[in-house]
Amino acid sequence: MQLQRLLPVFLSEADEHLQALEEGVLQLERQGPNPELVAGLFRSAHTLKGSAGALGFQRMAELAHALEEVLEALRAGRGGDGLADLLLECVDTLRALRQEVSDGGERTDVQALVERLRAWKEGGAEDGLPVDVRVRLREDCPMRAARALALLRVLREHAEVEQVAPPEEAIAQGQLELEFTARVRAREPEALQELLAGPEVESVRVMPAGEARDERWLDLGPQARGKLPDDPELTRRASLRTVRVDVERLDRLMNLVGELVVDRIRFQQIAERLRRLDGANGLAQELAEAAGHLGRVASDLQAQVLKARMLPIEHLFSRFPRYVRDLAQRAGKRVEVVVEGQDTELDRSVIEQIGGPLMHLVRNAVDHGIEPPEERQRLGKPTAGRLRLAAVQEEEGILVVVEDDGRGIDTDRVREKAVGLGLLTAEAAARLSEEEAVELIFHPGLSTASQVTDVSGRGVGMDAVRAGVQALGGSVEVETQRGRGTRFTLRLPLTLAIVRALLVSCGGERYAIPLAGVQEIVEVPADRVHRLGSYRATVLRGNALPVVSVHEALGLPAPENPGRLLCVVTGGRRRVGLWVDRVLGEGEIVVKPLGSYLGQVDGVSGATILGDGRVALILDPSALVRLALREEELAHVG
Amino acid sequence: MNAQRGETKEQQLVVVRLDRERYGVPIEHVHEIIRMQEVTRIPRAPSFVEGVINLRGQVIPVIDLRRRFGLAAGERNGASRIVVVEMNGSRVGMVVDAVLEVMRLPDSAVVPPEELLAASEVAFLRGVAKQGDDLILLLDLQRVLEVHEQRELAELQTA
Amino acid sequence: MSARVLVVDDALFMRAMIREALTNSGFQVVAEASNGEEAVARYEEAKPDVVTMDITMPQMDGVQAVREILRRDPSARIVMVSAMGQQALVVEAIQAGARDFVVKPFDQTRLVEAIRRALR
Repeated sequence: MQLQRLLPVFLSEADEHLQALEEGVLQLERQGPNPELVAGLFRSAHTLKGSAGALGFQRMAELAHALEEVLEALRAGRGGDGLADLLLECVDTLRALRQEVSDGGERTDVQALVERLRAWKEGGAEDGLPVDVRVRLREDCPMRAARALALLRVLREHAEVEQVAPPEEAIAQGQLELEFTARVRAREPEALQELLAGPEVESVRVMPAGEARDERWLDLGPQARGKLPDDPELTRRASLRTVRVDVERLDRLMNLVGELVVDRIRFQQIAERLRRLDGANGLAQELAEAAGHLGRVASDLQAQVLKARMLPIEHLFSRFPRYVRDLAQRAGKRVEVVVEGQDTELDRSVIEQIGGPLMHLVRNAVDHGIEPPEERQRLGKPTAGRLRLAAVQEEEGILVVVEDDGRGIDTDRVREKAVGLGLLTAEAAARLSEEEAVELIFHPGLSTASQVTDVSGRGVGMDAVRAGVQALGGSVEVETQRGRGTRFTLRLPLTLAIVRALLVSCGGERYAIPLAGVQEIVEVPADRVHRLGSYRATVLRGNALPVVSVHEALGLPAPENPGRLLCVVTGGRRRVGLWVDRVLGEGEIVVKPLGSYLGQVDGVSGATILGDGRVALILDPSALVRLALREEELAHVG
Repeated sequence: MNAQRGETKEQQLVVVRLDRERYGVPIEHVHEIIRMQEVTRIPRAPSFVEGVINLRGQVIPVIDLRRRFGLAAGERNGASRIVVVEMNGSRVGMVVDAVLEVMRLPDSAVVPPEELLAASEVAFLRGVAKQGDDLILLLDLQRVLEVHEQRELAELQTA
Repeated sequence: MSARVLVVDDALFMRAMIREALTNSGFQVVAEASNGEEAVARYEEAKPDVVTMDITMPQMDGVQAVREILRRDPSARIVMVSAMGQQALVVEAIQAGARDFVVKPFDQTRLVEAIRRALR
């Protein structure tokens, strides 16, 4: 082969062409296309394609070819926004490929870029935002392959499908478990979720397009997590120390560990009974010790399994710079993305489920928060807006922050809007504090309405964002300053499988209430609870607190004599006092799903198995608050 | 996809008693049979959903077949059992008055339920078999467990 | 305005059941056919908004009928009605252009939902 001899010639020639391409593109951006300039660019691309192809550098040849086609279309008179950016990205990628030719690496994937070049050639300016849509079918969905294909068909009618994993042919042959992922471009990616929902579909997740890695699989081992060093030798060594494990297996492992914990508690109860028998004291002692050891091992095991389910949030964050760039371009804004705390680890299922809410927040920040460059200049702000995405670990959970330095939420307009929609009277709106007025953006009525009319405040699906985060046992807070910007803070649990919970009894049933939703427990004598029709309330430190029994909130027949204890639970900024008979204790519980047969039970987030083997329901504080207050409103009307 | 298992000449059934009738449950769907346990109630569920139980670490729903079929509530006693069936990937327990036997039934003994029964009973059956003087009603589990119909019922009750 | 439906199935019982389900949900069944050939002919005459199509039928089967109808009217909306174990055929029908499917035995809401989706 003459390759070795030709290589230096090729490399220096490539450098020249890349330089020429770059200068040409910049000129193109300044002056617009002229035939001579475009012809020059075309020649460079063409030559690069030819030599790269001859030497077997496939990716480089492919990219140069796609570039050539775009230039051809430009020569034929096609125009459009964003071309310069696309071409510059192309030049950068070709440079990276040229670098790999000299150092022998294979790091750069050109496929996505090639597809975007093609899309530009065919469809003009880049249209729609690239997102990954992951659809999970229900386990009882009949004919999964056929269902997946029918869903893809629907998707095609509303978005441009670029790629599907597993590939469609494989799906048609039945090679589909429960999930498939499609990379699509859509003008309204958030609408896809609803479009694909149906009785056969377990979940639809939409997130910014990212690496096409299958997240069903987790890499175990410290080397695999976080960033891998670029050195291929290191990468190879690290990969020997890691194993890929199906996440479902980890879930099963988690269930088994949960059983161990339950067994341990049983052993302790048996030991306790033995102790009361004559002559078995020594035996009881031994059993208690063994049970204690079993307990320690079980909790270690539990901690290890939980750890194995963790992923750095980078998996999600890394998708955003590109997403923001596209959003900004469409909106005619300039936005700089700052990402912090990428190494922060979260349970895989939490990461999967906050993609949608984060997309909403980021999109709102770019569309409504950050001002156009001219306006920013006039205001004396840097022309490029700043969008900060940050994650940080706290003791009990993770904080994720989405912050912009835009115009902030215009609470006057939010008030106006709410009054206009009949959510509030003008007087009530005027009485709201700034903080309360900002809270209005989470009101479902306001959220939906503003999708059509676009208030200068936010609102697009903010109720969905809050609901999504609360469903995970988290919360959303917002701070805003007129003219200075807005910060959303998402408080998320570290993991979903285990929560710290309060165990209470009420009307003979036991319930677990996640501690994250419990504000305090207070003792309130029955005569301090006042009745107004069927609605009850007490006064707690000067504020009215609606009171409801757990059973009422759940719609079960209420016990005759409610207890004296009130468990104050919160959902959003509202609170409710839940009547309970007794507080039995506090501890870590393993969360089990209720299963697809029962589906979503309002007010209940799952179940857990107690020490005596019986099942206790886990209450969902924010849903209970919602249910209780809804009932209260009804009572008011009636 | 291999739905047809060729020409099966007979089927195996777990025969259970409910009120005065004998019902046949196809054995390939029966996961196990357990004694009655304390059940945790589920709010806003349809009336025939009795609640959930702990099946060795898994939380599974239990339905009361008497209520499902609109029969009078029966007394629970030592003979009551929970038949755990597996259907479309989920496990569900069905409370029955008693489990009687496991039997083989030739396909030729099965007739469509319409031929022998009133229309109201037919909804949950896939056939009826004559056995001496007795009838065995063959349950159509798909219908008995129909998740979506059941969902709607649940929604109706909360509405 | 209620959508107009062509119901194709070789079993009289199934046609009656589907007709009832659709009528109850406010659709209008404008024609019925008991095999593929007839389905194509009825489609031409009645120009329905949507078709429910059985798969296993004498003369021309459902998948062929889908191809034939879509060849004549590429905007035709067809929902397959399939028995269990016919996934390969359903896949074929969808690849040929059918919009959705239900699996027998189905409850009525499923069918109605599938038809609504197809009409969307």
